[in-house]
Amino acid sequence: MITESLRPALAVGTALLAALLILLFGNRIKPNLREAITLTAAAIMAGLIFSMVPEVLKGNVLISNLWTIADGLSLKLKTDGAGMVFACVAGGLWILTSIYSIGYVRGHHEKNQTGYFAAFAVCLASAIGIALSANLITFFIFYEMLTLATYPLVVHYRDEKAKFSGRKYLAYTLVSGQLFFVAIVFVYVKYGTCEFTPGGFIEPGSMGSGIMCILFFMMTIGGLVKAGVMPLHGWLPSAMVAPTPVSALLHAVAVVKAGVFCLLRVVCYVFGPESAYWCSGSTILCWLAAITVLLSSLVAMRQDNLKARLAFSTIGQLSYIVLGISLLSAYSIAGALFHIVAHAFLKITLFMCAGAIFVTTGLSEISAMRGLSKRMPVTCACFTAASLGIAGLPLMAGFVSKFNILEGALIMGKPFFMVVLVAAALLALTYLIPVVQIFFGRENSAATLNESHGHGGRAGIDAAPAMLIPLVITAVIAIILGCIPNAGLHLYDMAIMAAEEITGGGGVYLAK
Amino acid sequence: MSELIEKLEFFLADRGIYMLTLILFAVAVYGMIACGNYMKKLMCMNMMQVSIIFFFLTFGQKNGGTLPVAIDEVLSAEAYINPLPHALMLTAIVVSLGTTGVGLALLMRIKDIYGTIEEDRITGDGGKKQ
Amino acid sequence: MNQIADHLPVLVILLPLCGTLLCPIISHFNINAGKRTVITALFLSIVCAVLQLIQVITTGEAIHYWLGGWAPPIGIEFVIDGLNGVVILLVAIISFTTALYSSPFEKLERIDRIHSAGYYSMLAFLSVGLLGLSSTGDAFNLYVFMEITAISGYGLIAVGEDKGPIASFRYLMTGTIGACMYLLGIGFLYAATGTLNMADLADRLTGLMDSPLIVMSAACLIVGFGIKMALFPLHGWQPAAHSYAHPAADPMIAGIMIKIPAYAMLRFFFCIFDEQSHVMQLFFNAIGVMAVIGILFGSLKALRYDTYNKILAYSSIGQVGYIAMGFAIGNFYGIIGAILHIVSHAFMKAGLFYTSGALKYKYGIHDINELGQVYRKMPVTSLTMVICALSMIGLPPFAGFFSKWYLALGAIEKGNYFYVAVLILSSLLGAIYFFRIMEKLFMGEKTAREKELPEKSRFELPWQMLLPLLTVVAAVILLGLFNAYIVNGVLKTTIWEVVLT
Repeated sequence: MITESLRPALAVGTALLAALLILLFGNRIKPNLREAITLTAAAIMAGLIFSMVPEVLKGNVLISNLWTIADGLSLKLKTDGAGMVFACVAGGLWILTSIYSIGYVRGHHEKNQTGYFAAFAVCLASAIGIALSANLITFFIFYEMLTLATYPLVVHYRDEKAKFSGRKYLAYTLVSGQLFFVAIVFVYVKYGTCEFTPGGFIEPGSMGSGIMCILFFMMTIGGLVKAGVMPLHGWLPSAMVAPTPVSALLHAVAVVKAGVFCLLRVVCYVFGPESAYWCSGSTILCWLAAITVLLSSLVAMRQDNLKARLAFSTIGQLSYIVLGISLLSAYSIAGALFHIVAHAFLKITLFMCAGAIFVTTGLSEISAMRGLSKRMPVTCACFTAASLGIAGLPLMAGFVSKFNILEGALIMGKPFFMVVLVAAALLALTYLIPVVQIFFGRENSAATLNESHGHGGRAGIDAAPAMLIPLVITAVIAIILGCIPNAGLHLYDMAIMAAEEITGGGGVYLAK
Repeated sequence: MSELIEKLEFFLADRGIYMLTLILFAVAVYGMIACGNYMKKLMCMNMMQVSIIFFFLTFGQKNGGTLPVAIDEVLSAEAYINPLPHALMLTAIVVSLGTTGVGLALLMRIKDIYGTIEEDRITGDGGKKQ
Repeated sequence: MNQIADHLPVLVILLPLCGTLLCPIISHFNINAGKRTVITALFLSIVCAVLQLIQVITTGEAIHYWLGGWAPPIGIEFVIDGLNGVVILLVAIISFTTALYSSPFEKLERIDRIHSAGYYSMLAFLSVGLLGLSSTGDAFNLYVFMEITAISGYGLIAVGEDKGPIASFRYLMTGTIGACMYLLGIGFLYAATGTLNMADLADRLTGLMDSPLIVMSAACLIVGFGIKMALFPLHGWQPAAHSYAHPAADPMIAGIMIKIPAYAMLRFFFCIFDEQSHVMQLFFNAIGVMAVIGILFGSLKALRYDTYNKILAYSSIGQVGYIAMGFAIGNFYGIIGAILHIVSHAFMKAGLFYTSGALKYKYGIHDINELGQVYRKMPVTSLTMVICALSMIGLPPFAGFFSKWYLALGAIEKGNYFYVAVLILSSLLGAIYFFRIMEKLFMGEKTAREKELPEKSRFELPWQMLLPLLTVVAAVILLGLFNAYIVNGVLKTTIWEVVLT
């Protein structure tokens, strides 16, 4: 059943309004009041999104048909399974990252806090917009908004290094955005529609396979760049100069997830599995993703900077999702969708831990963190749990999704990719477990015990509560989702629903 | 020989005047580009406008036509030349007067600022004030 | 009341003209009253423009106004349809905001009665010229208005900075060549058809399109309009003129003075000539080549400069290329893109020049290297700069994105993929130079010092300057979000009925 409802639009609007308010009054009101705006908006938005979940589970679709944005196309938001999964994750995590951000920026005495929180809100608004867009032009508008809103976050420190990363970020995202733009226009001219349709609206054979393959990559490049699939990942590690909550947001919630989500929309809702397979775009995508998964794990092992290591881990895990999408079976698509959720919670926990360690002890290099568990036991425990989750150990969120993707590869008869998937899971262990070993190592390096270490380091046991609480919550949620994938918001059901919608309810898409 | 003269006469009567205005136009544009003195440039600009005015006036002409002033004996419209281009060119002359006036005012200002209206002297020293 | 409503098309132009003439007289007695006369006249002109646009939309028919009651083709006719109704409103709005914006500069420069009166007269006269240019339905009348525009423009450029008179004189030379070429062009048209009324011309030209007279005429018109709209390679006068014009009048000069000839070009090439004919197709290809080279040239040149105005001026050369590209594409979406770009670019460029003027007013900044940290003191100016710049790059949801969207739509529909490639390349080059400015603004070292201002203001700028900035921001955002209403409600029928027939 399709119902007109303003709820999807309100969800996006709340965050935008919050951004506007923060920008207008942020410097005039007290920081507490300003943060109250963020938190209230986050709570309202999350409430709105969660309230739509039951409707979606019942099979209802809520549509906000706002207004005609360009001749023949309207600004339109709608809820479907895939979109809701992403929206729930982004909306839910905004509250936690906000709380964490407040702890972080205050603990770290950051400058330009107003701009920071405003950009943060715009980022989240765009992420929700991306999740709920019903057609390509709405999608593209939010997509570019996200690009722009992330830029001030990347260049937050405003030094030479930040400028350089900012330029690199813009170079990658704007170029890919423009190619995406041309592809959208082309599709609109050729097929006369921009509406996302489960299973796609591009018929195989409606143009030459070579041209369709080019079009496929022009459309997916937007997603590939944001998802950091090699060789287009260059911006991601450089964007690490940003404050840690930003990295958490970039790497776990908004930007990279928007990238894979873009890929999902293009592959499954514009091209559809049949055309994607027919023009051999999905096959190339599989290989790209497989190579990225393996290479990034190898690179991650060599990184001593904790955030850099996590960045490369992100690249690898996202390619996991890309691989799941491009395998084109119902299981793998559902797995990919659920991995968006799982990875979001796991990676944000890891980043929050990294940030908490940095603010509390001033450490950013792994080799200096020996014996950290004595100083920050809770943080280290959460880090360990999340690491195991990333590696895909059973009873952790990562397991459910990875198993589904694996199953998909099995059904599609792609043994090579199964090997890649298993190998990647093991490689994830090799680069995260040593970190845990160092945390729990016996020797105490001098630095970890030096309580008032630079950067406004904080005395006392473990990190500040504003940082500690969110990361504990995310870690707990990650474990719960691992044991009961359907806990709470039924995200797993929605993922399955979306996957069945795409593949036509048959469960398996068989390659012709 | 007489044939040649006849042809020449025909050419002058038919096309020659257009050729002359064209030459005038070309000379004027050349002058605007080539002259280094802003005053000469302005004069060439005026010449160019005059050539356009000539052009309009000549295509209003016709053989045997008389001035477009109502004369009692001549009643048919065919006997008059086309008055419209003349009327238009009156306006164009006014406009060209206006442009020339602005041009002259600008030259005075340039002379005030730079002390010269020679292009190479103004741009030669990097456009600095004297 | 009804009688006034009948005379709206001429009132729009008459009011600023009255302002022009009255301003020097009133200024003789009271300097502020003269200024206010002009501002009031321009404001009333906006009201009339709005009323006439509403009339056009509600009746769905073009207004034909016969000056002095003389019927065309003998008399001069003003024709207002959906297309130029929008353009007239645009001109009226930017004229009014610019007049408002100018008043603080007057106090800053402490100029005397004569200069003030002259400045406002010229500003109103420029407005008269541009409004006339967009409403007239007579080819020769268009020439007169074009020269009115040009003459007042020369004046406003000359009263600008030190190099103003030189820039103005060069523009005078080139501009006069342009006007003469235009005159020559309509001379040929008149010789071929015996009429100068645009509608009449269009009728009589059917079947004549291959005649050498028409070919010559079209060639002359391209050169004429090309010079006026600074289309590559006829742009030589533009960078200096836009950089050194009076900072207060610059938004108008850079914002609309080069757009309205582009609109006139559209009128000639689509409404008068038969755009389907073989000859015109060749000319459109030529325009396309000029546009493409212009877009790339302008964007590349803009990368080289550190002077804010120079960057904006060269970027205009590129952006005018967008409009010309729309003509070259020549189908429905191409034209829509071109018209939307005329409107949106007018606002964006005017907005950027408003910020440039504001920076000169408060800090005396010309160079982008001095911009560092200025945003802390001038948040509204910086916001305007950022929004206009993003719109210039063509990022959603601002106006610039949608004109680019329609242009790309038109180009792909016609199969001109090369144009699309140029469009995105130019966007990316635009991103480089605009983000360079923004990087300096937000991340540069603090260097600039505030000037001594004649009066303290409660806000970052006097309200007369803030209002134009906010108008532009609102326009860029609203034009972006609600462009479909303009396209469907106003432009669509006109374009199908008048332009593409």
